[in-house]
Amino acid sequence: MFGFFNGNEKPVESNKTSEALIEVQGISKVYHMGEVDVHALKESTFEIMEGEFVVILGPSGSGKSTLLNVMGGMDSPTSGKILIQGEDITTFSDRRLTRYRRNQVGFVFQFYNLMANLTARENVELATEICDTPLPLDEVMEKVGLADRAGHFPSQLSGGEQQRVAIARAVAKNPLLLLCDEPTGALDFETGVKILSLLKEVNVTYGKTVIIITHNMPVGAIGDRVIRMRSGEITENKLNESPVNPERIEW
Amino acid sequence: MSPLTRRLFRLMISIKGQVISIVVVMALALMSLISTHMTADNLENSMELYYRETNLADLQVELTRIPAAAVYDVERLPEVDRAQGRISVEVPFVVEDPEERVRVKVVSVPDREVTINALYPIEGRMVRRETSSVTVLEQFATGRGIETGHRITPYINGREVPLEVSGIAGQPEFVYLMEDEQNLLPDPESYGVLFVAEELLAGLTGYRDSYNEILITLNPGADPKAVADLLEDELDRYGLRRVMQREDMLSYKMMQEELNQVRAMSQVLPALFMLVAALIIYIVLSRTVKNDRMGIGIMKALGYSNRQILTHYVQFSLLLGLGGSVFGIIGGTWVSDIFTRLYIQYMNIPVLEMRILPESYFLALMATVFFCIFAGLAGARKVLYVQPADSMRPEPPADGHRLLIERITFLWKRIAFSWKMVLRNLFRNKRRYITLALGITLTFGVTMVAINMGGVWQTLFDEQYGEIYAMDYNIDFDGMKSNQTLREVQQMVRVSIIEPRVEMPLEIRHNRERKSLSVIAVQPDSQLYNLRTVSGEPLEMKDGLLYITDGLKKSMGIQKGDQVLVRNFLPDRDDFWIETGDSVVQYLGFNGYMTLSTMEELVTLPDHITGVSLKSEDDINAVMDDAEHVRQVQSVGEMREMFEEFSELIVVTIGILVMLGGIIGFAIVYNITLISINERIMEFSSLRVLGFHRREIFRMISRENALVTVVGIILGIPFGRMLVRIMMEAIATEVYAMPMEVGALVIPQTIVAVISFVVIAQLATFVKIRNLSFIEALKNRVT
Repeated sequence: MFGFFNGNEKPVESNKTSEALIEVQGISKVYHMGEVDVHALKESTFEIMEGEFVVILGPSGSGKSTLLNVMGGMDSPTSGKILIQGEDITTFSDRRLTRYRRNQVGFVFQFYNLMANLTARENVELATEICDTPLPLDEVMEKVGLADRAGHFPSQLSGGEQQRVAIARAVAKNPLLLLCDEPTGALDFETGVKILSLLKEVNVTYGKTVIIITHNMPVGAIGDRVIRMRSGEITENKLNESPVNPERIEW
Repeated sequence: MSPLTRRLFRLMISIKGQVISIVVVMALALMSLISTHMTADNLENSMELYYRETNLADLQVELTRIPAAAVYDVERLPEVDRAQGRISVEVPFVVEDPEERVRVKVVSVPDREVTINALYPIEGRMVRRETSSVTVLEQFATGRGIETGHRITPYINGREVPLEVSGIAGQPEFVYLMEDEQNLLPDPESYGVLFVAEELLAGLTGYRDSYNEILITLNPGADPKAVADLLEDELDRYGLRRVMQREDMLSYKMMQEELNQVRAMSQVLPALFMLVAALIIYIVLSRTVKNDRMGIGIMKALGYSNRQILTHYVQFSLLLGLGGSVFGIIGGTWVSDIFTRLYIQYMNIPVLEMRILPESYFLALMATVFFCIFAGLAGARKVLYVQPADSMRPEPPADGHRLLIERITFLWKRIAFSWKMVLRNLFRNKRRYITLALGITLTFGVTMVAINMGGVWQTLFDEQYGEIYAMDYNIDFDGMKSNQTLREVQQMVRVSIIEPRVEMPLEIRHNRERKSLSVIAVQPDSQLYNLRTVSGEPLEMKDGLLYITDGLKKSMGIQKGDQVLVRNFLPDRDDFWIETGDSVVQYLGFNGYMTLSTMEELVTLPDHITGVSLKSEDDINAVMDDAEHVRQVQSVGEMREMFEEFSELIVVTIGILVMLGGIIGFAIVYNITLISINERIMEFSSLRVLGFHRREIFRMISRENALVTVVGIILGIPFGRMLVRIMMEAIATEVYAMPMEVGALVIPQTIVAVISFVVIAQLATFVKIRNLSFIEALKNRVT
C-alpha cells in the first residue's frame, strides 16, 4: 500500500557492507543541572556498518536519544569521538556541522515535527531545497504513498500520514544515514508496523543506513544490528543473523 | 517561491492583526518623516528660489539722507555687486472708518530694469514710471480687499495722494509682513506696503536725487559682516541709523524661524516614531522566534544555517517595513501636500508649490531598511543559541519558587486565591509583564506628548497675556513725551492701574552676534509687567542691567553678567556697554527689559516716556482715537487673538503629527497584549479543561493587566515629562519659548487615554478567549 512496499512474505535482503560508516569512540555526555551532573552517555563505543538497519533499544532515560542527537550533529558530546566515514564530526565547526546535517543525515522524530503552516509537499521541499543531491520530490511523495495528499497541511493528516511526510522529508534529502527517534512512538500498532516497513524498504531500496531508537523491545527483531542501552551505557551490541520482516512482529 | 518564504507569508497571515498594526505604525512613522522632511525641503527650496528670482538684498541700510552719487560710491566697493537707493516712508492710509488706523510703508521702485528686492508680479502691471499708479503688496491687498483698478489714498507729507492700483505683487522683503520688532505679528489689514514710482515719492517727500535706504547685493565670497562694519563707518555722515544683514531683516528672520521649527519637527517626532515601530517589531519578532523554537530546531536539523534562518526572520521585519513604507510614502506625500497647502495659504511665497522630492522617499526607505534590519536582527538573534536537539523536546517547565510576597505569610494569607494566582503569574513571567509595562510606559510618554501639545498653546497665551503682560492696553506715543502725558491719559480714561513705559528699538552686540530688538523700560515694581526668571521666580529689576529673554540669550550665546554693546538708532546718542542680568521668560517674541531710570540715563531724556501701559474697562481705542500724539493703541486681547491666528499653522502641523502619536500609542499596547495572549493559548486551554469559565480566565487576565498598567503608568509619568521636555526644546526658538512643564490636566487626561487603549486591547483578548478551541490547542505538537 505504500507504493513501493509490496508487503509480501519474501525475506528482506540486507545490503550491508563490511565498511564501518560510523565509529563511536568513548562518547560521553554530561548535562549540568544546577549542582547535579547527569551522565546521559558514559564512554560508549561501537561501530555501525554502511547499509545496516540498526535498532537501538533502551528504556526511557537510557541515553538513546542523546546518542542519536550526538550522531546527527544536533548536540555535542562532552568527550569522545564520532567518526563518520573516517571524519570526526565532534571537531566540526558550526558551519561544517550544518553542512553535515544538510547533506548526510535525515531525521525522523517521534512527534513528526512538521511545519504546521507548510503543506506536506512543502515540508519535504523545505529539506530538498538546500541539499546538494536530493531525490526527485514527486517520486519520494509517491513512494511514501502521499502523492494524493501532498497539498494537505499537517493538521489535515492523520498521525501515520504525518510520520510518512517526515520520512519523505528525511529520505528526499538522499542522505547517508537516516536517524529515527521513536518513529512509532506516537502511532497505533498497525500504523507503526507500516512505518517500520517503510523504513526497512528505504534501507533496502536506497541502500541507506537506518538507525532507529525505540523502547519497544519487539522492534529489535527487525534490525541487522541491535544495540541495547541502560543508564547511558551500551549493555549489548550484537548482529542479528536473521532479521524478521516488520510485518511479522507484534507488541 | 521557496517553502520558507511561503511559510513566512502564512505566518504573517496567521498574525495579521499584529502585522497590520506594525505596518500602520511604520507607515505613520514614515508619514511623519516624509511629510515634515518634504515640507521643510519644499519650503526651503522655494524660499531660496524666491529670494534668488527677486534678488533679495544682502544688506539693507537705513539712514537719514544719502545723495544718489554716494550710492554709486557704495556700489564701487569691491565686495559690492550692486547698490540701489530707495525712498521709504511710513504714512497713514486713508480709510472710510474714522476709528480705524491703518498705516502703510510707501516704497519707491527705481525706473531701471534690474532691481534688488524686485517685485514679483501676482496680478496686473508693475509700477515703473507712472506717477498716478501704485502696486500693492499682496497681503495688504488681500487683507483689505484691494483689487487692480481700485483707487487708494495714502496720506504722504500732509497730502492725500489718490493713486490707481495698477497691480498686485509679492516682494521678498515682506514675505512675513511685520511693521517692526515691537509688533511681531502680521496684521495685513492695518499695515501694508505700497510701491510707487521713485519720481512721485521723491517729489512728495523732498528726496530729490537722494534716498533714505540703500539695498545692497554682495559679490560671491564677500563677508556681509565685514561689509556692514565698513559701511557703518563710511556712511555715518549721512545720518546712518542701521545696517541690516539678512538675519536682521524681519521677514527673512521669521521665515528662517519657521523653517527651523519644521526642521526640528522633522527630526524629533519621526525619530521617536521610528524607534517605537522598531521596538514593536523587535518585541513581536523576538516573541515569534521564542514561540517558533521547534521550527528553528527543525530547520537546523534539516541543515539550514544560522544565517539562512536569521535571514528568514529578518525578511519578516523587512516585509513589514516595506509594507509600511508603501503606505508611508503615499500617506507622507498626501500629508506633505496638506502641509504645503497650509504654508501656501499662510506664507507669501508666490513660488511655493508642492514638489515630490525623491530624496525624501529615499531617506524614508533607508530609514526603514536600517530600522527593520536592526529590529529584525535584534529580535531574531536568539536563533543562534537554539540547540536543535533541545528544541525538539518540550521546554522544561520554568523554575518554580516561592514569591517574596508569599514569605510574608501574614499578608499572603489575607490575599484572595484568585489574586494569588494573578500575583504568581505576574512574578513567574516577569519578562512578559515587564515588556507590557514598558510598552505602556512608552505609550504613556507618546500620548502625553500628544495631549500636552494640544493644550500647550492655550497655556502659552494664558501665561503671556494675562500673567506676564497683565495690562489691558499699551498706548504708544508718536515720539518721546514728557511724564506729564501719563496724567493726561489718566484724565481721559478711567484706569485702575497706569504705568509709564519707554520702548526703544536697539541693537545689541555680543562677540560677532548682533540683534535688533525692542527694549522696554518699566518701573522696577511694575504691576503690569510681571517678569519672571527662567526658574519661575519674579524678576527683581536692578538699575544698570539689561534683562533679555532666554531664547535670545541662548541664540546669541550671552551669559548672565556678560557685557553687551548697545547701539541705538537715535542720531545724537552714543553707543554704550551694559551688563546683562537674569534671563527673562517670555513665551512669545523676544525683548530686552530695563528699569526706566537706566533707560533715561543711557538712551532717552530724563522724565520722558514713549507710552503707557494700563488696566481699564473702557474702550481705550475709541477714546484715544482723537488724542494727539498717540501713534497706536494695542489691546492685549487683540494681540493675543492675532498671535493665536498666527500660531494656527504650527498648531495644525503639530496636531497632525500628534494624532499619529496617539495611534502609535494604541498600537503598542494592542500588539503587546495580543502577543501575550497568543503565547498563553495553551495555558488558557488547560484552564478551560480544568473547568474554568471564560469569564474567570478573562477576569484573571484583566487583573494582571490592570496591575501592569498601574506600574506602566507610574513609570510613564516621569518618562512623559522627559519626552515633553525634549519635544519642547526642539521646537522652541527665539520667537517661541515653550513651557517645559506639563499642564495640570495633562497627566489625568493621559491616564484616561492610556487606560482606554488598554481596555480596547483587552476586548481583543476577550474575543480571543471566547473563540478559543481548547481541544485544538492541546492536540498536536506541530509547529
